[in-house]
Amino acid sequence: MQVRACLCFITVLSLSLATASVCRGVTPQEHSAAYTLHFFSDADDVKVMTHYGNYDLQLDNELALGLQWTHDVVVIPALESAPQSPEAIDAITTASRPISSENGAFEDFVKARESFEGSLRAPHYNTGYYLSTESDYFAQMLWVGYNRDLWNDNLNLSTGISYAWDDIQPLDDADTTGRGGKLQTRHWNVIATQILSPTTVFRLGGEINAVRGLQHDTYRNVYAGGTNVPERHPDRRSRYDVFCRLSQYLHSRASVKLDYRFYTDDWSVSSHATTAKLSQYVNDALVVNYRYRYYTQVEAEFFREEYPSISGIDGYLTGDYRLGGFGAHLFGFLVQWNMKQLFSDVDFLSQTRLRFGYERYFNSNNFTANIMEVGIDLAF
Amino acid sequence: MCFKPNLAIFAVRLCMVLSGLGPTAALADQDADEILASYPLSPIDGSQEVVLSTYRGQVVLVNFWASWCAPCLKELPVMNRWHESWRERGGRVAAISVDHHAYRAVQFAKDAGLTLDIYLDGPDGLARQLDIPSLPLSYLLDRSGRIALTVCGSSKQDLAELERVAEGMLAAKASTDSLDEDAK
Amino acid sequence: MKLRCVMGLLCVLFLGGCTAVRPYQKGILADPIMSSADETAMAMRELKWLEAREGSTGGAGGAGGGCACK
Repeated sequence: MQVRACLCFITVLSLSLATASVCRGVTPQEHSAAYTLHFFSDADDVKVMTHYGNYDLQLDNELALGLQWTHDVVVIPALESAPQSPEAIDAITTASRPISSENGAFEDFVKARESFEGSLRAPHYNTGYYLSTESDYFAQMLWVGYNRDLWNDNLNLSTGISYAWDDIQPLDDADTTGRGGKLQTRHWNVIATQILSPTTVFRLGGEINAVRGLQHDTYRNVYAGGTNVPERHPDRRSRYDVFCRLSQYLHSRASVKLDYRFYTDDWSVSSHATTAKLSQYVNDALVVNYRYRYYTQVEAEFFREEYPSISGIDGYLTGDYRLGGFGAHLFGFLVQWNMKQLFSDVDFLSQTRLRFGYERYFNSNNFTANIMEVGIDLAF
Repeated sequence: MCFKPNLAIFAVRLCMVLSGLGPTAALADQDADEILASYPLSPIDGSQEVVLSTYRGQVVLVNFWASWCAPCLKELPVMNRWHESWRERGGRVAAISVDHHAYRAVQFAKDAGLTLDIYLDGPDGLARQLDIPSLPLSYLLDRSGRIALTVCGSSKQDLAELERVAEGMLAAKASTDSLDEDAK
Repeated sequence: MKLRCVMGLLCVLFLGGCTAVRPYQKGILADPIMSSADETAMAMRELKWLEAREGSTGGAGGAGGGCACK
């Protein structure tokens, strides 16, 4: 998998360089780079540290090249118990952790993921390629998008399609009961952005995802009929969502954004997500953003807290709480500091911006999480 | 439930609504030349207001820009070089900012080291009176203050056209002066 | 009935677009606190960890409106 990842990264880089060389004779106008460190920790002591690196190159013929690299490290704390013992089974999800006596039952499980993305943007078109790799999962995606401004640039219509194909090969582990497989996702979106007034913008969009292939957790067991059996989900899922956003500028040098998203799929999961965000200038260089999000979800048709028999519901069983019914709250803040005044004499740093954010997430399954983000944006 | 007729009614309603979309801003009653000539402009340094009719006899490039308009920021340094080149030949560039927050225009002018004539007017001033159709927008005024050329956009071709016509008008003045000298 | 209400709301919202906003009036819309460009990147990051915790997806991307700059 790592050799494949390296080959794919080299392909992405080569395509990017080839594109740049095709545009030789075209003078690069602007570069920008950004780095973000994202830290997630939850009530189960699971920690995720993610590094994001972005680089954008603006060419003078209105083309722009984008590269993104992401490095995730997930740490799942060790269980102080022997594998297959009752203590080694998660009491809420009945999942068994992918730790066996072969790998050391009392060591934290650490998993790393790398992803790379290359994109090309023109005034009306954009396209890109993405890949990510981890020890048991290799994912790739291609996408194409088109957008057009209408009515004196007051209305923007955009549409995009993508195709993703994943290869899942679970780790060879005594607890692993499922086999690997493939997963394909076809995605289509259409979005309209309408300027309603000099201070108001409204956006409306819809998306369809057609997912085919392996969609359950190969490491997870489900307690059914008095025993633990491997989780089984349908291999087809059609997912739909519609969303809208209203952005309104307030005369106190602030803005408010209201988002709503409705989601549904053919597993009978449906959800509503509502977000309110307030952004306020403290002074010319400092912006503070506050956000609150409320989420509510209806369970999948085959989700049960307990399954009476090993055949489940229509042959499907799940130990994934994400397919159950629950509600969740998220609130937090983000501070953005434009350092122009501090570095006005240093050309390289005169457009630097720092970001710091903290959010708290909790849901009705007694799950809580802290999310922190720090980042720096550079333009030169 | 009979869905199709409801959908048809909705489609008709939507078309009626969307067909109402379009430019509805009022056009200027007076000739654009006269408006440009007589409108009082506030210089960026806070000095006394200026009217463009003061520059009759010169070739004046009037450029509307904003600090949030990326193509505008790219062409202003080019126009700054033109301003410095034309000064001694009877030409100048007047850049009018339509920024809502004037401090951003001031900051950009300072960072870019611009020496051309910059005026702060906001979005509801001259730009609104003329109802300019795009940003950036350039009017090239001849020596009698009439609009000789209007350019919407900032592509290489647009800038080349502006420079070509302006240089032509400046050269015509130079040759007229030369003939007058010979006649004397 | 619910569908009519939603369609009616959409009509009202788009009715507000009858007065087209001119290019020189879009300065506030280009302000960073109104722009969605940064938020798209943040939304994509957030979608990744939200998808690991919730059963739904989507709503994070999309192109924005033009600034009328040529």
